[in-house]
Amino acid sequence: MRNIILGLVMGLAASASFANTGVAFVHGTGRQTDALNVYWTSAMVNSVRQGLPNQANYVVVNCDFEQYMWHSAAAGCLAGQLTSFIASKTITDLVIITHSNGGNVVRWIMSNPTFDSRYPSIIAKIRWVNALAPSSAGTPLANAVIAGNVFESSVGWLLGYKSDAVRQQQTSWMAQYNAQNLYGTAGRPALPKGFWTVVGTDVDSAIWDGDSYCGGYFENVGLETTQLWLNACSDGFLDCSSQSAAGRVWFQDKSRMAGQEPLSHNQSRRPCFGLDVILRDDV
Amino acid sequence: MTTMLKLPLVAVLALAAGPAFANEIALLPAADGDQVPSTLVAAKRALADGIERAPVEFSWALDPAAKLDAPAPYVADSREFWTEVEGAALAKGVTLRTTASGAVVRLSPRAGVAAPELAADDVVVRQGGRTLRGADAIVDADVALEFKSLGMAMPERTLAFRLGAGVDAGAFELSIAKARGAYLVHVFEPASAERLTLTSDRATAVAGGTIELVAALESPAGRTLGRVGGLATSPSGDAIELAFARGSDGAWRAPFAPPANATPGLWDVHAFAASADGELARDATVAIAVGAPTARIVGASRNGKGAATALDVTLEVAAAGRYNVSAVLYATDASGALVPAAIAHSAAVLGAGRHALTLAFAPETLASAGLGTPYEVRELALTNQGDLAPIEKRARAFAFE
Repeated sequence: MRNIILGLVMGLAASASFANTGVAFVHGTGRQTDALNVYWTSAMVNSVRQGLPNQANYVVVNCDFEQYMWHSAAAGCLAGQLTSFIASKTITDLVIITHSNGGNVVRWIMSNPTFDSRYPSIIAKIRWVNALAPSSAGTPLANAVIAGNVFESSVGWLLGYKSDAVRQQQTSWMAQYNAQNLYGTAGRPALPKGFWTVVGTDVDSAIWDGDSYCGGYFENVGLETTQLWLNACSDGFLDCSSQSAAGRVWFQDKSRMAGQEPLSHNQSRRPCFGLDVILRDDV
Repeated sequence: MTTMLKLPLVAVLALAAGPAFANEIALLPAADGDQVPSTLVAAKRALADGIERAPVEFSWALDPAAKLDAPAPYVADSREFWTEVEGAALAKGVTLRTTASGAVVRLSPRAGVAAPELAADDVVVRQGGRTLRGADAIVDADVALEFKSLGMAMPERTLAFRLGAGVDAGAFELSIAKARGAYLVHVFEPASAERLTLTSDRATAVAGGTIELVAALESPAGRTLGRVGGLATSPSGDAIELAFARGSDGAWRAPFAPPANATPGLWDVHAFAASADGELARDATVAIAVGAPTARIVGASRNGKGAATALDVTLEVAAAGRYNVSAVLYATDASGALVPAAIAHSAAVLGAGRHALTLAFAPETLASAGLGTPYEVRELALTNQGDLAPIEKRARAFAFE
């Protein structure tokens, strides 16, 4: 199906013959000021942008995704940086690559086109979104972190937890957002542009296995333990069902990664096992 | 400040009862599951800082083969519980009960209460006359660090670990000699088959309305619930106690009735359950979207300046805000079936009074898909973009040629 749509889009682009393609990297949870180096790594970004006709047509977004997705510092900031990028580079064909909770922020913009007058023109430029391990249905880890905030006999925020992005990614909250405020999940209207997901299905962290070191060995070891909260199919942070909940599955890691390696949640934003080349070939 | 504004119901009914002009389209009768505010509230709230002021409309085509369904309410599935202990009690030893081995235990100091840093080596577990210390009692002592690496930091000075293979399911005593202050203790049993489910009969409520919460225990061990407490907490921290009662089917139910002046947004609803034999505790949480009834939909009319599929949706607004209407247009295919054709949104800042927002379903999408009349507008939703909770939802709203 994706190939058919790709053909249609490429056909349209060819007929226009003046499409100016750009790619935007949209990070996940966190307040980023240097997402190029801290979140994605320059090796990842530089590899992917080699697929652009004009390799200068890329932007690495830096916003505050500790906020709720609709917040001016989250979706508002993203809209501002995308609008500036589109205008400064005269982008007519935008591919968005996003990871984790960044998928929710992008989906907010595509699902709520009237929330901000900048959204419609951004949506119009999007060819599609490649969502790497998106937290579309939230994560039980967020439930575990937040749940103790309210306790039976003690009304109030007992633990003083502050991150709205974590609160937002509780599974019950994402179920509400998906049902009321976001599109693209089962039974809901489709998003205005394609939202193609890459799903991480497992975590390898054997100390003797060199593959465990891509993306950081100790982070991957940690992801083995967090799988206690998750289903058998997960990337250490998200169940496969959450990563697949919105849009369409582009591929599961083992079907396309070199050596049929899985992508842990930390690895799906890094140049591990050929992921960067697949993304490069897609822009 | 909140005041109640009872709109003249007769006038509203007159509008809904039938078209006074050829271009007017009456609302279809509300169906079970629709959310329709009966009384409007003129809540005086300033527009949120930075909220969009310009009117915005947008529409896109849908796949006519797509099947759209209203999502079912979320079902929480819990194998965990929380309890609160004083540091002095933890220093002496507190009794916890599990139903499976390998439970994960987390100790978080209560916010604002001074508590020392705890380490895995400080943990002592006593069970069946045995005393296990540190690494003999626990494994995976870096759980808090691992969560932090994923951007899910637990509170400062949290100690979280998994009980080792030497600790059996059942009662055990946990003690940490240097514990001070107060702690929340979270026990998560990933291997347990004893699960508490919590759900609701509908996913959203309008302030002043009522929904029903349902808690049930799935227990292969044959346990039954002996007590269920509940609390609903608003986005601003206000709380309403919930009264669960046991039904003849063994499930426990509680009405949740957010008051007419309730803070709109997502409310957390918690259930705290204990088994009749006292051996099992479970807590579960669901979120309920509560909308403030500050506006409602009273009808529609054809937009004379737009395409045949452009509708002006008439709103009665009691409190100023930025309101959004959205809906899916169903059109008729060659076989005569109604299929999804397009979706449209329209939003603007509106003051109190009667207004219209235009849903301009893209006409070219219908022609290219071979779709035509008759039409139906379904999944009509009205939302205040200042708080995002749905005010009104109708599965079938308008039918027109």
